[in-house]
Amino acid sequence: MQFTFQRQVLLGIVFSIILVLVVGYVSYNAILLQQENTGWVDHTREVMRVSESVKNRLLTTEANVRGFAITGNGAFETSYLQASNEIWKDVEALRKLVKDNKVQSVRVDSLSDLLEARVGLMRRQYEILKAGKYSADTIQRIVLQGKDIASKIEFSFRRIENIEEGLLVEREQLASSSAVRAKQYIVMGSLLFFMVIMLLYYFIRKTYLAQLASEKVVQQANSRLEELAREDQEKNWILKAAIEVSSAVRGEPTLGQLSERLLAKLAVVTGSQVSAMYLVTRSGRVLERSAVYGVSDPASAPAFVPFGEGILGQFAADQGDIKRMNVAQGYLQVKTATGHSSPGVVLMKNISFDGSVAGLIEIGYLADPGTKVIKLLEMVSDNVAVAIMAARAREMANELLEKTQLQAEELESQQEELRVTNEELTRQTSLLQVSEEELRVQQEELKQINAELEEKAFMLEEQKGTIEEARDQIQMKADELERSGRFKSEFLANMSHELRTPLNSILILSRILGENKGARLNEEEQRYASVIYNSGNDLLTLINDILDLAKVEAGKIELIYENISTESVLSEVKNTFQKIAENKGLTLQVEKSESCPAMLFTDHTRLLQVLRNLISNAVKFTSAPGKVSLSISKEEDQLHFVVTDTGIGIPFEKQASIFEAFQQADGSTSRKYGGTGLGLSISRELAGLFKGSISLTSVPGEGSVFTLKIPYLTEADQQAAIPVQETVAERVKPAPPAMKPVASENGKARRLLLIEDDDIFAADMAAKAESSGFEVQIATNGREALEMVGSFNPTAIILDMHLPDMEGEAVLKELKNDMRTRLIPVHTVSAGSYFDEEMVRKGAIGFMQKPVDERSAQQMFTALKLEGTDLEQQRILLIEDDAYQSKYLGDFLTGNNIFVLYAYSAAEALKILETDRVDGIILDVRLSDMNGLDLLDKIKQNPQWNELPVVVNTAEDLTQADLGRVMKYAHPVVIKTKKSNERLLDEVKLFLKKIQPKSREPEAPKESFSNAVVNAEQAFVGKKLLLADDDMRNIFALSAVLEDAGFSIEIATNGKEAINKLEDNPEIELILMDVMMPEMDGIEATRRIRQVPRWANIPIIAVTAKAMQGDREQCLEAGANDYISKPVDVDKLLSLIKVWLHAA
Amino acid sequence: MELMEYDDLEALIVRIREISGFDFSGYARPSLLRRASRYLTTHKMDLPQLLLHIEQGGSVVYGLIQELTVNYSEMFRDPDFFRKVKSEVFTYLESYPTLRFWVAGCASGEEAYSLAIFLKEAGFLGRSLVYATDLSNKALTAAREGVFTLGNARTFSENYLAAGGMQSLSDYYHVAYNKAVMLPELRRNIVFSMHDLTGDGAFNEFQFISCRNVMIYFTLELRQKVFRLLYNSLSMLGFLCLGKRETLRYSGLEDHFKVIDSTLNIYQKIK
Repeated sequence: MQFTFQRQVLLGIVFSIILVLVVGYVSYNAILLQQENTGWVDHTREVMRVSESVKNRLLTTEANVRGFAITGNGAFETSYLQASNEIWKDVEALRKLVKDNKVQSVRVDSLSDLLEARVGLMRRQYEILKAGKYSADTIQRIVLQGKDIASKIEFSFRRIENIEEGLLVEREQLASSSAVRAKQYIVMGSLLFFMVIMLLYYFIRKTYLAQLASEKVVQQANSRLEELAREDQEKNWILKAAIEVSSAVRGEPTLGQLSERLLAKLAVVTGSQVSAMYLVTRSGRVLERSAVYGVSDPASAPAFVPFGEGILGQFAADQGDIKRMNVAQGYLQVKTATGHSSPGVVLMKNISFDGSVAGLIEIGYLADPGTKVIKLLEMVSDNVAVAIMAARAREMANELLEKTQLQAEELESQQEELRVTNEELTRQTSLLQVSEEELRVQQEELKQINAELEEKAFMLEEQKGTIEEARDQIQMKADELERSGRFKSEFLANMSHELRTPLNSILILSRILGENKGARLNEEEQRYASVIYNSGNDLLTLINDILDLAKVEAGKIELIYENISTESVLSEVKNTFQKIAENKGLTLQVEKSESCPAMLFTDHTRLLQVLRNLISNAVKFTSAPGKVSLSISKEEDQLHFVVTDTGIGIPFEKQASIFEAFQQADGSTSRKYGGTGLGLSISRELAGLFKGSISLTSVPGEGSVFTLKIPYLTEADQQAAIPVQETVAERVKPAPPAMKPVASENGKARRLLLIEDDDIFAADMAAKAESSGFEVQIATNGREALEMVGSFNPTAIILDMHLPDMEGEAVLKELKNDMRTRLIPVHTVSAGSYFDEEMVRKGAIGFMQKPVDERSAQQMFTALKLEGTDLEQQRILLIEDDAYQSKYLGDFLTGNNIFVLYAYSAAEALKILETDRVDGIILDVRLSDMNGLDLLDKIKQNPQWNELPVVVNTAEDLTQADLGRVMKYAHPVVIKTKKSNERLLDEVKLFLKKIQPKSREPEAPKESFSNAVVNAEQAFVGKKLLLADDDMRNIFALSAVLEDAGFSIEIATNGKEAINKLEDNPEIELILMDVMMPEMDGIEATRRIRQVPRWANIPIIAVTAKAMQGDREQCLEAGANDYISKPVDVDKLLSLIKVWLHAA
Repeated sequence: MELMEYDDLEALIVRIREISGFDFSGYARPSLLRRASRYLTTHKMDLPQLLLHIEQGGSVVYGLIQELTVNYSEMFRDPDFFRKVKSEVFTYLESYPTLRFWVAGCASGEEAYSLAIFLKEAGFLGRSLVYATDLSNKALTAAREGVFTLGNARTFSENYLAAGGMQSLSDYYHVAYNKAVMLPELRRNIVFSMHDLTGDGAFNEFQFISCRNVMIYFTLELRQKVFRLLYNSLSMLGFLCLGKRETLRYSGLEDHFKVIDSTLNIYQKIK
């Protein structure tokens, strides 16, 4: 550490003072110690003196006591008392002196005790003596005692004195040594003091010398400072000038203003005479004059100077900093009003900004302005440059501002437009809102109306339903009526035929009887016979009429058209009735009008029958004199046969009913006029047959006019008509089969097929069956019957054992052998007597001998109904070994209208399948006697059952392998859960619905494939192919087709599996790779396969559902050879496979 | 100001079809127009530039296709729907030994994961396979990662509980870097794959198809086509689920389905 001079001196003085103090203190202490020690020596001596004094007083006391004893003198007595008192004073003084020394104090105390004892003894001796009553012994004893104590006291005194003496010696030594030490301290201190003063002197002198030297240096520095101050002044001037110049360019001048101000200021500040300023134009590389100062002829300074041109241009181009030129006389002119001169020095300064020239200043001086101007220029150039740039920027900003303003105006105008548009829009919006609300209201209204309409529609629907129902009932009734009418007619037709036979015999025999050839009858009897004959004849006529009528009504009469002449008709009528009329006294007039054609094309017999009926009636009801006439005419397309009479006429109210069978105008009429009353009915029926009509006008009492109108036909018409009729007939015939499926689906639940060649019996049975609730169709022979079974789908069959084409037994056998029909109950009938049991054994439910009466027919129908009931319900075989579960599930299915057959073991199931009709199977996997899946395989192997749908029901999860076994048949698997019954039912219903149409998918591809050319070659037999796909449908469909084509197939359901299969089966020749698969997709798998060298060439065909071009590229890029999209076109696939197998 | 007119849009559709084979012609125009305008705005392009731009083909045009389609999805969206599926559909499907689900138009996979979570809770995720397909590869990539922003987790959680979830949704993901990452075991039974409903065909047979809020972007004609595809992809008695605003009406397949829930649009194929 360096100490300044001042500090050194201070330090020295401080040190000296401390030293004086220390030495003083030490010496003082030493003297004090010496004094103390001397004090102690005195003290010791005092102690000894006092103890001596005590000793002396004791001796004095003793001596006085002894003196008193000897003398008994009072003087001794007084001395004694005085001395004994003074002893204690001295002892007390001694005690005080040794107070500082404990040992001595103790000894003084013991001494004091001894003294007390001695003094006490002496007092006794003194008192005894004084009293004078003493004995020698006593005195002796006291003296002895005193002697003893005195010796003790002596010893004590000696001890005290010894110690005090020891102390004295010790203290004297101490006193002398401390005196010596005090001397030593004083000497040493003086020496030290001297040394310090010397040291101080040295330092002070040294410092003084140094001060002298530094003073000299300061003088030098001062001169230097003066110099600097001068420089500072210059700088100050520059700075001031710079500030002035800068302030001149401050503010917001334009470029021109800026230049002018700058030049003016420079002239003022630097005293320049002329100057000019150029700025680089905005486009660059050209200097433009921005201001001149003091130039007499401004034009002499060029307005533009390109870079590199002239000294100025070159200087700017070189980007020089500053240039000073001493110029010749007359280089530049400086003019004032009073004279002119030429400047001597020209300065040029580039003003740069960011390293590029922004402008240039040229200044002319008459005399050299010195370096400070140059420095000034250098200093201000940056500021000026900034100012120039700022001005320029301002200039540009101004321009931009102007532009912006223009744009703002434009914007404003646009905004205005927008506002206008907006207002318009707002207006429209509000309009829209109004209309929207209106619309909403309308919508609401519409909804309301809609709801009402719906309600009405619903009601209408309901009404329609009732009406339709009623109509159906009416129709049914009408049908029934028509049928019963027809049956009645048919019955009558049959009956009258049967009646005529015996009647014939009666007539024949009664006539023979009436002829009475053997003359064995009397007249009366003969009359009877003729009555029998006449009545028989009447009966016959009646029967014939009835027969005719019945025939017509039953539609059994067909008209036979032929060409006849009108004339022949007329003459025939005339021939028949002329005689009868004359007999009755009537006029018969028969004529034809002009319009009537000469030839008629008609059924001669039937036409005559009608005419005869009409005319005979007319004759019958007309009495003489009267007139009956027939006239034939043609009006338009109709032939009119008009029969007129002048008979009794028919009352108006009866006119309608006279044409009805068995009715006449008057019940009594027939009795009066005879006849069956059926004639008119027959006539009307026949007219209908002719597609004509009979009309009647009549006035009672005046006569009647019957007019028969039939269409006028020619042969040509008829021929045209016949084919029509035939086609109609033909169309009618095939129609029933076409309608049958519809009928079987939508018609009645019970359908009876009647196989019977006997029309009458068939019609009879059909009527009975229909009334018993069956829908009936009739087959008249075995072939037809077997065809109809398929289409009509009957629930019951009645089979006649005698059929024209084949034996009934054969038909029965065929029905029972067909899976579809073997369960339809068949009841047999025959005229012969078959053995009942035999029939039943062959499959019929019963046999009945013809004729069948109503009661037995009903019995038969009931039996058929009973047997056929099951047929309507779908029959499900439930194979389930757990009785409880079986019942539970069975009840559930039964509740859903499904007929359930129960099997509790595989054996039972197979037995039921053998014997019964089953539409579907629910199979539990776990069975007591056989694995359910084995049973499934067994069922599927039987061609009779392999079409049967199966639902596999299982309580436990199936293994993948087991699942595969089921999936092979594409049957659903239902795992037993709480709600699985619901699904089970759905699945069951699903397949029951599908029973009619055949199984869906595999069929189509197979068919399309079977036609493929590829098949013919058998090119694929034995080739192994890997099918990687996780879509089960696809796997089944494709593997079925491919296996058909001869491939053996390996299946993988994801990419990883595919690679593994490929690893395990090196004989695989081609891969079909689905793109979308779980775990590893087809593209990734393809890529991995391609990475293995030995699979580099195995053909891979990608299968994908995607359609975008990118996907195809992706497949090919991954290494697939080709690509086919889902759903797969089998032919295309096989062609592809073929191509790639050949290519490989 | 409209960036595009309908005519321009038609031109763009044709161009996209020519370049990529992807056909937007069946998409509803107003939505498509908005998306296309948005694309132009966000990419600072005009139509000629765009048309020029897509000439590059490849990823550029696929990028455009993906942006033109809408990819929005959330977990357990419409909790009612999931509740119903769980109570009505799952109990029925439980009896199938193997199950296939198809989430058509899965976007970023939320629905597929939701389905997987419920399948897991119902106990048959193990024998189920969920196919989740979408047009957008970008969305599928996100779906495969199964990473969702935590911000959505709250909504998802609420949905999950409202749908009748039995645990906490957070049991099915773990959080990393402020994201929710779905557990890999859910992912194991989901196959994410690209599939274009409008152009691609049926690729598998499903017991359950969910195609929710996809049809709304299609025209009526296209819808019919897509419905047919869905129908063909459904196994008999399989379930079809549509979005809340969608309906099977006008699909031409109404009578092939039984209505399970008419408001939530759940149907069962019955023929």
